[in-house]
Parts: sequence; C-alpha cells; structure tokens
Amino acid sequence: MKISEVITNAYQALRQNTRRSLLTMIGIIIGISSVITILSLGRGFEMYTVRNLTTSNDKQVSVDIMFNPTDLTQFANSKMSYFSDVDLNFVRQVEGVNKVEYVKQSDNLLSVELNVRNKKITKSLGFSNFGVDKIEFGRQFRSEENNGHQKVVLISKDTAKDINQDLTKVIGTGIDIKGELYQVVGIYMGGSEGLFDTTPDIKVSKKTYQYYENNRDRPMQIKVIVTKDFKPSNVSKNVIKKLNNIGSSRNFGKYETFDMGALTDGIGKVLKMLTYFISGIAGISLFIAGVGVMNMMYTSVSERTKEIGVRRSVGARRRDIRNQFLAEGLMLTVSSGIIGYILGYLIALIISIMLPFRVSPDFFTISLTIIVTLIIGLVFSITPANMASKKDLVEILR
Amino acid sequence: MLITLDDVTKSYVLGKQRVTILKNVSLSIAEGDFVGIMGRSGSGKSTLVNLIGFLDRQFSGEYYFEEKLVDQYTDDELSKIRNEHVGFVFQNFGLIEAMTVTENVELPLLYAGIANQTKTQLVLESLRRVGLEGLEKQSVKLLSGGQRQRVAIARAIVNQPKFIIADEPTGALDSKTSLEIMKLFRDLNINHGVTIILVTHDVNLMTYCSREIKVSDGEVSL
Repeated sequence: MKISEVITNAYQALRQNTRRSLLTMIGIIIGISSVITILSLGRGFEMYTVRNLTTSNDKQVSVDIMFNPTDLTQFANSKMSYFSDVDLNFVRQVEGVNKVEYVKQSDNLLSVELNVRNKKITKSLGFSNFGVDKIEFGRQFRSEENNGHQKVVLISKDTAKDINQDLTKVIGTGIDIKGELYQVVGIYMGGSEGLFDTTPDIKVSKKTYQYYENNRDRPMQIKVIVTKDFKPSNVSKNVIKKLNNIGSSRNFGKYETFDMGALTDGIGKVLKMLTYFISGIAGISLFIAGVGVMNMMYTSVSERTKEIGVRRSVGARRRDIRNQFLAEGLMLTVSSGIIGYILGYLIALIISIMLPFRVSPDFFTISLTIIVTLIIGLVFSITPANMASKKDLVEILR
Repeated sequence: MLITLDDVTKSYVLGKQRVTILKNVSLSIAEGDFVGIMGRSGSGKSTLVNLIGFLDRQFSGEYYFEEKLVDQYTDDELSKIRNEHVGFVFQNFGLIEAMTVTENVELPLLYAGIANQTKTQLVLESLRRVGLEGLEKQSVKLLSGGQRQRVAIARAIVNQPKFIIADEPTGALDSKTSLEIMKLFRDLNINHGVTIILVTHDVNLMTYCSREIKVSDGEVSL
C-alpha cells in the first residue's frame, strides 16, 4: 500500500469518529501546549538574562587577564603599573592571541558609591547618549562641556530624591565619582529600580569620563582577543603561564583571569535546567494523554474487527493492518502536537506582552514537539496495532 | 488442476475433547468449474472453503494450489495469493460500511499497489459488470442488500482472480434478488471463465452449478 493511501485511510478512519478523535486530541493538545508555553517563556527569559549580563557588544571572543597584587607597596604612588607595554608584547607572542589591549574600565557599566548625608548608597553609572535623555529638571549637556571635558552629570529622578527631596536643590550640587567631583546639571526621567530596567542611575559624558580615567591610568586588566578557532580557556591559560614566568609584576602578585563567559554560561545553564524541570512536570500530562490515545486505539481496534477481517481476506498483510492503526495513532498525536505547539506559542506570546522580552519560535521547540508526539504516537499505538494485526482471520470471519 | 486437496483433516481441541471438523477430505477443482458445495449448517462446508481460500492454514494433509504445496507459503505470501488469485463473497457482504462503493471495490487493488489510473479503470469495469454504474460515489450504508452483494462481487472480480469463493451469497437476500445474483455468477462463469466455488445449503441453487460436492459431518462425497 502506498504511503499516501495509508494517510488518507487513517484520516478517513479518524473522521469516522470525529468526537472521539477530538476528545483524545484535546489531551495531547493540552500537554504539548503547556510544555511549549513554559519552554518558550523559559528560553526567552534565559536569552534576555544572558544578554543583559554580557555588556560588551563585540562579537569577538575575549578573555580578561587581571593582576592580583600581594605586595601593594610596589605599586603605591604610581611607582609601577600592573601591566606594561612589554607585558603586552609577551602576550602577543602566545599562540591563539589575536590582539591585546588594556581594558578601559569605562567600557563597562560601573557602579559608584555616593556619600549622601553620611550614608553610602550604590548607584549604577552609565554614559549619556548625547541629547536623547528626557530631561525633567535642569538641562542637557552642552556640546562645549562635552568637548571641553567639563565634569558634569545627569542623574535619574530616583537618585536625585536620594540626595534631596527637593529636586530643584539637587541641580548644581556635586557628586564624587572615583575621586573626581562632578556637577549635577540635569535630572532625567526613569531609572526606577524595576527588575528589568537597565537604565543607569547616573549618566556622564563618555568623552569626559574617559579623559579623567585614562589620565591617571594604571590598567588593572588587559583584554586578550582570541583568534578564531582557538579555545579561549586554553589561550588564557597559556597567557597566564607566560606572564607568571616573565611578566613585569610577577614577583609582586599573581596573574589571574575572570571569565565572564563562564558566569553567564552558568546562569544560563541554571535557567535552562529550571525550564526543563518545569516542562518535565508539564510533560506528565502528555503521558496521561498518551494513555488516552492507547485507550482510543484499543476501542477502535475492537470495534473494527470486521473491517480487519475484510481487509485481510482481500490481501492485506499483517503489517498492512499494523501500519494502518499506527498511522491513525500517529496522525492523531502529530496533528495534536502541531495544534498544541501553535496554541502554546500563542499563549507564551500573550504572556510575554506583560514581560520585557519576546518569545520566538525556534528549531529546538519545533523539533521537540514533533519528536515527542511521534514517540507518544508510536509507544501508545504499537500494542493496539499489533493486537489488530495478530487477530485470527478464521475467528473474525466466523 | 487449479486446486487439489489430498487427505485433508481439520480438527481442534475443545476442553479435553478433540473435535474433528473435516475428515480426510480429498477433492480437486479445475479451472472454469462452477462448484457447488452443499451441506447442512455445521457440516464443515465453511471450514472447507476457508481452507481453500487460504484463510485457514491450521490443518493436516496436503493442499496443492496450481500444483504447489500451500503449506510452504508464509503468512505474507498467502496474503499475496489471496490478493491476486482469490475473490471472496460473504453472506454478510463483508463490506466496510464507512466507505463508498468505489473505496470498497478498490480495496484489493490498494493492497496490490496498482497505479491510480489503472485502478479507476478496473473499478469502473467491474462495477459495470455487476450492473452498478453510476453508484461509484455512493456510501455503502445507503445500498439495499442486493446492491451490497453486487458491490461485494465487484470487489471479488476486480483483481481478476483465479477463483471466487461465495459463502452463502444469497443467504441474506430475498428470492428475487437471489436469482439476479446467481445469474450474475453464471454469467461470470460462462462468459468470463471465472472459477466459482459456491457454498450453500439451498438445493435449488445447484441448478447453476456444473459440479456438486456434498459435505456432511466433515466428510465429503463427490
């Protein structure tokens, strides 16, 4: 029998008992859609979290090498810096190193501690996209301030309230950022400490900040950009080995690495495990629905004993009968799987309207749906189908 | 010889007793025969034709189909033989109620794997032969008994079988319809050379047959 005929046959058989087929399908649809909803939301959240943890935008893989001094006297009063240009040259010779540079601290979102009325509060520091901040009080940066490295900042409304409840009095006060006094010129909207808000509390002009930071430059870290096809962890290991052997500060401390990738990987992994765990629980309903499929297939087989006999007498082999019932079971589960996927995805999409990230269909969940429904169809239809194919012809036709 | 049975015995164990349904049956059927198998109910005639029609292979003795021992075939091979060489017409018609006339008639062709175009042609031809033109799309549920038996006959002849087994084909029909069905069988036998094995307990039908085999209490007398 041709595959297309087996499929039409299965479709017709399911249509014969529309109500029973639909009821059985609902079980699978509920199971699949709940798993897909959880998976989609979980993956969306995971991607969102990991993306927010990795602040650097460049696509290149890089590792940061730090120096951890043990003998601080050597480095007091700018006698010596942790890393020198000679060190960079050494690092460059290591295999797999594409580029080495000092890490400009200013590349990252920082946090600063403010002293307000004898209390220390931690605020995040970011850079102003020149001119786009919505200013509520005060004013924007002026371009001459930007070009002339004037020490001015914008702060969020919340931060301003921490400093003084009367917002008008905040304008013009100075705040200490890394030993430099910056003057508050404007207060912008936002910065409320929502879970998913990443707007910094304090914004400075990038140009100004870098100017003062780099002036008293003593890089604590270097950034090693790894050549493609090299394993970052191996390269960083080799770089540290070399620096510990011949680095300029090797006698006064240790060279170490802090792998941001491992951290985000770890968090991603935890979120993933959590998602799978909850999906697994939702998957139990799939198992129950599978038993429903089996029940329906058994009923169907015993109802259609006569049909089986007729088919066998006109030349159907045992495996033709088995395939017929398997096809029915598979069609039932796979079509419910497709409906369940669409439903689950829509539910996730609606829920995600209230969340700061969007879900998107991906290859993994689609293939998971198809594989899971195929397995359920096979596992729960094979015994009824085998029973149908093993029926004794003489018994049936009596 | 198309069919040769040599010393065939069929029995089974019921509780502690051994029940014998067919006792040392030997017979042969040639191509073109219209054989009538007569006997009262319970005489073993249905068992005999199930055996001849390759539906039952649990027996002792030897059955040769076209000079080949049936015992050697596997279940799949027997399915293929049924598909290609045997047509069945049952007392209760043996149609699949949920399907249309065409779908029922083309069933053997589906399992034979015949191409769509040829299939449609063969189905139309065999429906024409049983006088059911125009009912192709009709659901079997809406047909009368006589029409149903015609559909069954159309299905039995659609694969151009070597022989047709008709087990009480008129058992569920009134006498006028029975007559029409028997005429149809005779026409198939005489004009198309189809071998027919007719099982019945109705003596009147023997007039259509060219040969008669009597079965009583599992024993055959030619």
